[in-house]
Amino acid sequence: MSPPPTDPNFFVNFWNQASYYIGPELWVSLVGLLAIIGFVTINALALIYGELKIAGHIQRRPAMMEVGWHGFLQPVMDAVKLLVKELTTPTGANRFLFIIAPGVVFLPVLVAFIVIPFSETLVVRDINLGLLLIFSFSALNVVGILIAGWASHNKYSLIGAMRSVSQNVAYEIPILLSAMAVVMMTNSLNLNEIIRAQDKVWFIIYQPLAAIIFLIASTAETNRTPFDIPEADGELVAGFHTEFSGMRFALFFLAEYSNMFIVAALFAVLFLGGWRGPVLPGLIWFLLKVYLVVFVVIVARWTFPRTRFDQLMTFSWKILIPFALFNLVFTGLIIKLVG
Amino acid sequence: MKGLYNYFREIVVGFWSIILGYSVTLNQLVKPIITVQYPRVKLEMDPAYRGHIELTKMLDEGHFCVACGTCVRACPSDVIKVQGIKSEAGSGKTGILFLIDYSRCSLCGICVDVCPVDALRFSMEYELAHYSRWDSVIDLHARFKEQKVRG
Repeated sequence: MSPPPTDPNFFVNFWNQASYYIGPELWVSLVGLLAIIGFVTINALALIYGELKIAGHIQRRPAMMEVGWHGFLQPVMDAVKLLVKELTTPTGANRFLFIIAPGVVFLPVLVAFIVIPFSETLVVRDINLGLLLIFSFSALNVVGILIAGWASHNKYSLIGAMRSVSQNVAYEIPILLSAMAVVMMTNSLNLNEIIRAQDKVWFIIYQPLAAIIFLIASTAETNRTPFDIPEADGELVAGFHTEFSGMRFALFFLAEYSNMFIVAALFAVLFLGGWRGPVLPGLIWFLLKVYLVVFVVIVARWTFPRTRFDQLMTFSWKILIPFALFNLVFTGLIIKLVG
Repeated sequence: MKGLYNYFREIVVGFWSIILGYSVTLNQLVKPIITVQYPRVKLEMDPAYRGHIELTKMLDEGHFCVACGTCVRACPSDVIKVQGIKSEAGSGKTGILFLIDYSRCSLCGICVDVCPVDALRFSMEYELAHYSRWDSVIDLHARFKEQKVRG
């Protein structure tokens, strides 16, 4: 044990030296990361509560009412339960892959939050390739799911993972094509720039087709009902996360709800003008728009039955992608003629 | 041409069905709740409900059971046990014991039908969970003291 520092300026010096070597940017990133982790958790809890309440009221029942005011603490209690549950690894599973899979699914989510502009200034890193960063890291999600299904040594997990991969490959294309139409109009991949370009009219007016395609495809991308083929509870038990318990399962859950927030945030940024809006501050407007989109996605879960696998594929390749391509070409033509 | 027509028709119909589906669920979302929080709030049972049998209590009189044993003989499941006493020699009997084993009762209602003095009726009891098999043996006379008057 070394003696404690006696120099009164030790911490100041330490701070200065550390700042010199790693720069203030890292401190911003550190604080941002902590804020993101906090927000991801709170967002997931709120969305679980909201989803169960909406499900209940659609079925004309009050949903959970026992823990806290109107069951407000139920998601927290569920989280506590998941925290103390035993982490089981099935025999025959690939232990290493099985352990890293939840991390591979969850970590890209945190990266995507870095560039989301919660308001004009409230963004961890305002980088120029924000949209590209979100799309590329969201694509990593698939790798995690495939690893999870592969490592579980369980036929249901594997089938779920395979379905997830083919579904994500199919639906990534219409998402990118519809987002591309917006990027062509703004000439920027910076999310704040895209929002600034919408100072007069939201892009949902100029690009209604792209907005609809984006919303449908992003619902599929986050594996939400009616496109929840990878975890179809009726056929596959729970799909790729059948064998996961405790916090490993919770990480998949966190990732799913955070992904929902990310695609809703992207929709708000691309088509609903992000933090733009009168009177209220930008943060409030942004969250209002995001949770409106999330609400639409949640209600879809309690409205439509799950699609069959071939219907899912047909829908993407035969309808969404041709329309997205058409929209892209049309946008290009208009920009060339008008702009 | 037919294929192209069907292709666009399917898209339009599908889109319309999405709107219809949303309107249905959003309608249900804003309607009031129709369930009750059971252990805290209890619903009134329907008068036609057939729980296990109980002794008829009309006005504030005693029970009508004369311990004739018709119900005991009629019961297909051998569920009922009745005993009566004569208060004095030559008088009619009065029932003092009426036990049913509800775990074997099939709620056929023959006992209620055959009773010559209408001493039996169906109760409205529905909370019948119990821990032991003996808890399903119900003493109708003990129950009679706490019963409400019901016509």
